[in-house]
Amino acid sequence: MALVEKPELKVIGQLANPDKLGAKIVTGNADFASDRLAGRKLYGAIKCSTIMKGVITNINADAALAEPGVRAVVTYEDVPNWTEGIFKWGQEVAGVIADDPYIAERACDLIEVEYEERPGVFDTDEAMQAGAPLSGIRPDTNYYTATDLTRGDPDGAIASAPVQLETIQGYSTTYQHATLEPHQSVAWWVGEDLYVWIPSQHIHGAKNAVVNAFGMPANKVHLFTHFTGCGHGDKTGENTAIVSAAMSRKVNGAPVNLIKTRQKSMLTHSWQFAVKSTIKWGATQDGKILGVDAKFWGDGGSSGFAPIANVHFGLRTTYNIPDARFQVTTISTNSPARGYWRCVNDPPGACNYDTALYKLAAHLDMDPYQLIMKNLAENDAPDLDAPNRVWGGIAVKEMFEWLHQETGYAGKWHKPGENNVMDDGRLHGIAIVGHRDSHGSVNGASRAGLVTMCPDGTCLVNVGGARGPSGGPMICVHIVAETLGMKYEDVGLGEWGNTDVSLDAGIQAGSGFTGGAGSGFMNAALDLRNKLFSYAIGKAGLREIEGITVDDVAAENSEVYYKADPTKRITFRQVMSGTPPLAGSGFGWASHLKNRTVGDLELGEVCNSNGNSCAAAEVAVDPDTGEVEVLGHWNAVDTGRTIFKQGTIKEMRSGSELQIWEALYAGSIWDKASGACLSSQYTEAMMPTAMDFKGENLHQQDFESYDAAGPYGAHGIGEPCVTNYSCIICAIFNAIGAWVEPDKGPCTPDKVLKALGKA
Amino acid sequence: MKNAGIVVGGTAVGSSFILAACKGDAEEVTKTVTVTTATAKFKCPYDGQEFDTYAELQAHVEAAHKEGDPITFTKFVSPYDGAEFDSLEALKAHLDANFMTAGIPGVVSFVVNGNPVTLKVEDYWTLDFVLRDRLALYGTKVGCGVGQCGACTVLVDGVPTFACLTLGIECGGKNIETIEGLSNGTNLSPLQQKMLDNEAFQCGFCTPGFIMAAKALLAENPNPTVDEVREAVAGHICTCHNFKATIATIAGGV
Ligand code: FES
Ligand code: FES
Repeated sequence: MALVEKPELKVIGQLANPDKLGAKIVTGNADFASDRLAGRKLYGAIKCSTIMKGVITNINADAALAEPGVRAVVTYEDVPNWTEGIFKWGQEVAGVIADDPYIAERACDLIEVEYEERPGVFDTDEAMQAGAPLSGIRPDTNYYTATDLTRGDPDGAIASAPVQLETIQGYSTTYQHATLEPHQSVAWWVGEDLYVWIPSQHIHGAKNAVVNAFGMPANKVHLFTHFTGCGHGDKTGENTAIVSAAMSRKVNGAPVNLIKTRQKSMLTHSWQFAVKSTIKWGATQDGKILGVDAKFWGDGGSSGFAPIANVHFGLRTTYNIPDARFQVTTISTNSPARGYWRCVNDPPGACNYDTALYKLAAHLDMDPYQLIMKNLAENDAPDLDAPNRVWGGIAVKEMFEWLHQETGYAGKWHKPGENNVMDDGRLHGIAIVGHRDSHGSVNGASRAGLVTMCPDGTCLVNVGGARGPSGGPMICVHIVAETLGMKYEDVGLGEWGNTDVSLDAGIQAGSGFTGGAGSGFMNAALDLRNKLFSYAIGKAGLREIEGITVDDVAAENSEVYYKADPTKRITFRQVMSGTPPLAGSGFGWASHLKNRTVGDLELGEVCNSNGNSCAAAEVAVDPDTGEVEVLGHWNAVDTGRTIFKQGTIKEMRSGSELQIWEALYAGSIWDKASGACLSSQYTEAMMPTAMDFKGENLHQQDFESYDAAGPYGAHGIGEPCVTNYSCIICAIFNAIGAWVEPDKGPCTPDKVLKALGKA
Repeated sequence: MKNAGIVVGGTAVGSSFILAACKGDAEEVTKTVTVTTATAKFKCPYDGQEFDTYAELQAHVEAAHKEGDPITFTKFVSPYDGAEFDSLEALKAHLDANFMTAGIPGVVSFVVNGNPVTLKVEDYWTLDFVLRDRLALYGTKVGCGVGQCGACTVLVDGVPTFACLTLGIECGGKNIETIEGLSNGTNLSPLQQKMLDNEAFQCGFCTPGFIMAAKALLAENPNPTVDEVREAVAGHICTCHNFKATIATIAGGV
C-alpha cells in the first residue's frame, strides 16, 4: 500500500524477488553454526549454578575428569567472561569437554561446586524496598532512574484538566526467546589463531568482544556466521564464542562444539523484560488529552544493561500531548538477565500505555479508537521534545484508518462488557492499538558494505553478517542491484558472515539493519558504479564525446547506456571483459533528511526515522472456561519503502503469531525462594504450535511511507510487527468489561476467570 | 575422534563421500578415499576373485589357498581405505579397529537416503547425533533434544520420528530418510519446490523437520486440508512463528 509519490524503482520491493538462500534451507544445506567438522570435533557442555546469589568457594572436578571420554574441565579461571560471583540461578559455573555431548552433559553433573550463599533478591517490588538485599548487579543500589523527561507543565495541566484519572498497570509479560536453534558454537585454534563459528546477529561485534576477552591481536581472531536460528535479539552476544574458544584452548586447540541444551540455552541467555506503570491523565470530557505524568518501572533482572530506558517512546511520540512527564526506573534483581527482544522497548511499553489509554476511554465513556484518533500527532509534526527535529516518514494515521476499515470496527465495537454475547454464548471483543515504534532508526555511520564486480559482469555482495529469519542480507542485495542498475538475478551473495573478508554490517536487527547496513551498501554500490561507468564510457566508445563524465551514463538491466542516446549501450559483461576486478566500499549515514525535505527543513537536517505499527484483534471469550479465541488479527506495519518484499511479509506474518503468543501463551514458572526457573523447556514454557493459530484469520499489510532518511526511503523490514499484543488484552477487556492483568505472564483462562470474578 | 570411518554401500569412507552422496556438496572431509564402485569388493590376492564381504573372502582364502602360495595381484587390500596387508589376519585387525564389521556389538546397519550404512555406535547415541556427527547429515536439526520441538524429525520406515528420542542402535535394518534424501541438492522434490516458491521459511531451522513430517502426511493423504496439516505438524515448534505460511504451503498437496 503506497502512501506518497516516490521515485519508481526496478528491483526494490518486487514480490517476485526470492531469498537467494532459500534453496539451501529447503534442501537441508543451510549451515548453522554446529553444522561442520563431523567426526573431527569434541563436544562442550556447561554446568549452571543452583543458587541465585553468592560466590563459588570450591570446584571439585575429579569425578568428572575420571569419566571415560572426558578431556578437560573449564571454570571461571579458564573462561574470561565467567566469574566466581553468582548473580542468578542458572549462571554458567563450569564446563566439560568430552568425546561426545552425552558424556559432556553427564560429566557436568559430576562436578561438585561449593558456594557461599549470600542474600539475593528476586522480586522487583521487594528489591525497591528500603533494606532489601542488594542484587549485586550495580554498585550500592537495586534500581536507578533511566529516563526523566519533562515537557511543559504536566502537573499544572493535569490539575486544571476537567477530567483526571490515574491508571495503574501491573507488570507486562516476560518471556524467553526460546530460539529453536540453541546457543552453540564451534571453536578451534591453529597456533595463535582462533577460529569460531557462532550463530550471531552481529558477528563483527562478537569478534571484537572475543579479541578483548582474550587480549588477542584482532588479526588472529577469525569469526564466522552463516545461518542463524531466529535471533530476535537473542543472538547479539558473544558468550558461546568465548566459552567454546576457552574450551578449545584447554584441549590444545582441538575443535570443540559447545552445545547448550534447550534448558541451559533458556537459562543462560536474556529474556524480554516486564514493565509496570502508573499514569496520571488530564483530559477534557470529550477526550482531548491535556497532560500526562507516566512512571514506568522495568525488571532488568541480572543484567546491568537491560535496555529499558525507552519504554515510554510510543506514548511520548504517538500522541500530541502538550504537557507531559516520562520517568523510567530500571530495577535489578537476581532473576534472569533481561536484554534485547524483538522491538526491545515497545512490546512491554505498549502493553502499559495502550491498556492505560483504554482505561481512560472507559472512564470517559468513549470509544477508545476515537480517543486515539483525537490525540494522534500529525504525521509530519515535529518531535515535541526536540522541536527542530521532524519525522522522516510516518504512516500511523493511515494504518489506524485501514484497521478500522478492514476489521469492520464501526459495526462491531461495543462498550466494554455490553452487547457482547455471541450466538454461541461467548463474549465478543474488539480493539485497535498502535504507536510510533522506537525500533528502526537509521544509524549506519559505523556500518559498512563491500561489493565486488565479477569478470562476467555479475556482482557479489559481501555482507558482514548472518542470515536471520527475514533474510536480511537480501536487503543489501536489493539495494546494490537497484543502485548499480542490475537485474536481481545478476547480483549474488558473496562471502558473508566472515569477519576476515567482510566489513561490519552492524546488528542484524530488522529495521536497524536496513538503515545501517543498507545505507553502507548503497554507498558501496555508488562507489563501484562510478568505477564501472568510467570503464563503460571507454569500452562503449563514448570517450570521444566532449566532456563526458560518469554522470552522463546510467544503467538498467545490467547494461550501461548513454543518457542522451540510449541506443548507445554496453552490457556489464562487455564492460568487465578484460577489465581489472572492481570493488566498491562504503559507509552508511546517520539519520538526516536525505531523500526529501519535510516542512521547512532542508536536506541534511537531522530527523527521526522509525518503523511503526498498529494492530487490531477480535476475540471470543468463553465466560465459563476463560478460554480466549482470537477470531481475527490484523497487523499493519509502516516499513517506509519496502525493500525486500518477501522478507517484510515474513516479518509481518510472524508478528501476528508472536502477538498471540505474547498475549495468551508466553510465560514462565518460578520458585521465587531459590530463583529457580521451572519452565526452561518448551512444554513448560507453553510454546504454541500450529494448533494454536488459524492462519486464515491472521491478516497483514505493509504501509510504504517514504522515509526521508532511510536508503530508498526505507524504515526497515517490518520488525515492529511484533509489538502490539496489547490489542488482544484490550479486546478481552472489550469482551468482558474487566481487565486481565498479565502479571509477568500470559492471559491464561484462570486469569480471565479471575477478572470475571469467577475464580 | 576415534573411529570416524564409516561404511557406506560396502565402502568405508569419510564424510566427503557422504556429503557427495547425500548432499551434493563436499565441504567437510575426514579422509580422502577414491571410490570407484558403489559397493567396494574384497579382492583375493592369490587369484583376483572379488567378494562382497570379508567373511566370504576369508572362507574362499582358507578353502582355496594356503600360506606361502604366490600372491598374483597385490597384498590384502582394505577396500575401504586402500591400506595393504601381508596377511588375512592383519587385514581383519585393521577392519575391526577402523571400520568394524556387521555383527559386532555396537555396530548397526541401516539405509540412509538409499545408501546402506554400517557403523559403530555407542549404545546411548541418539539418531540425530549419528546422522549429524557420524554421517555429516546436518540437515536434521536439534532444537530441544527431548521430543518437544520436532526439528529433528526424520522418516524411519516412512514414519515421522523424532531422531532425538531414537537410539541409533535401534535403527538396525531400518530405512531412514532425512531432508538430504529428498533431492540431490539440485532437483528439488515437489514439496521442497513449493516451500521454496512460497518462501515458506524464515530462519529455516525448523524447516527440515516440517518438510519431513509433511512428506509422510502427503504420502498418506496427498491433498490434506489446513486442519489436517495442523494436526500432522502439531508436534513441531517454529520460534520464528512462521506457521501460517508453512501450513498453507503443505495444505492441498503438491
Ligand atoms: S530436537 Fe527432537 S523433538 Fe526437539
Ligand atoms: S523458521 Fe525459524 S524456527 Fe521456524
